[in-house]
Amino acid sequence: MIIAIASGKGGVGKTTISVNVAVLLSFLGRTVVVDGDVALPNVHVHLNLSPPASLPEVLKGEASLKEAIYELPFKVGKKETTLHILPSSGPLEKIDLDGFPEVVKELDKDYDFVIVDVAAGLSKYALLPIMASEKIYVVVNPEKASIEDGKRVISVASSIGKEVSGVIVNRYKGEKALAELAQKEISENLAGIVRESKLVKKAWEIGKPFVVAFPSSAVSKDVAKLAKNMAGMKTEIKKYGKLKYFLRLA
Amino acid sequence: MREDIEALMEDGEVPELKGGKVDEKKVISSVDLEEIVSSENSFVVRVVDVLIVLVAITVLLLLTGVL
Ligand SMILES: Nc1ncnc2c1ncn2[C@@H]1O[C@H](COP(=O)(O)OP(=O)(O)O)[C@@H](O)[C@H]1O
Ligand SMILES: [Mg+2]
Repeated sequence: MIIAIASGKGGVGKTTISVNVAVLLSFLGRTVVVDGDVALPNVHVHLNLSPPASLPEVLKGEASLKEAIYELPFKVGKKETTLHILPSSGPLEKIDLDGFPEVVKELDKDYDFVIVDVAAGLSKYALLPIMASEKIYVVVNPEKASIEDGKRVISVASSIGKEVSGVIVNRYKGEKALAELAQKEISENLAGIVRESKLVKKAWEIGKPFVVAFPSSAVSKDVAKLAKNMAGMKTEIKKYGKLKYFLRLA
Repeated sequence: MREDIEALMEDGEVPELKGGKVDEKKVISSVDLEEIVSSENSFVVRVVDVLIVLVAITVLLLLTGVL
């Protein structure tokens, strides 16, 4: 299953969510994360990798897919898993993305979950990865402007006859009304709520996904629920209020 | 694989895409993800273990001191 993680604007947490959800999905099936944000790649930064070969080389025909995919072993709690990564990195130059859909289709034969971290906005860099995906999730922050930006993904998707499969509210601090607005404006399917947490930055500094560095944290549990929903195991997402967020009761 | 991609680069066309088919039966494992993340933090477990041992030693020392 090819799953796009998209957003209207950058900085909402697409890469953070792609990487962490992928670590957990890898317990359910073979999983690869593709850094589809070739203009501003950063999956490798989140994972502390400096890949010699990556997606741009594959698209240019200078490297094979095999050479550009990296296997990362992870331990979540007591359980071990392996996540595969197809990073994008290297010098900022014009990259021809036309071959991208074929690359992910090739990956789809080999993997149960192909998670694509898509570039923000309306550019061709966002369009092609979205074209190639079967499911499209939109990440927003609980802010009116962010939800408004997220609606762009709906227009990009519908321009090629696709529908958004669900919305993910990231950096949630109990803004119930805004989570409802996101559902109304973007997708009735609230696939997940991921709370604001200091552990996200801490894990980033260690160079590990937070579900690996802090598996028993509340924010990791949020991602577990999201991963289950993405894998088709219906899980209820509670829209809790500010008080519950501050008292950590949710 | 390399040949495939090169061939694709040459004709430079966006290939035909399949529609929104979702193959959920592919999900092979039945582990509960929520359980995986809530499994005990081994560091915390270790700290608790060390504390228990320390308390036991203190109690022992106190007892032997008293006797
Ligand atoms: N749930 C969260 N809580 C706290 N900080 C977060 C959270 N999600 C993302 N961030 C922070 O937001 C910033 C942008 O995240 P990133 O994943 O790089 O966004 P994007 O890929 O959408 O540009 C990072 O500094 C990240 O640490
Ligand atoms: Mg990013």
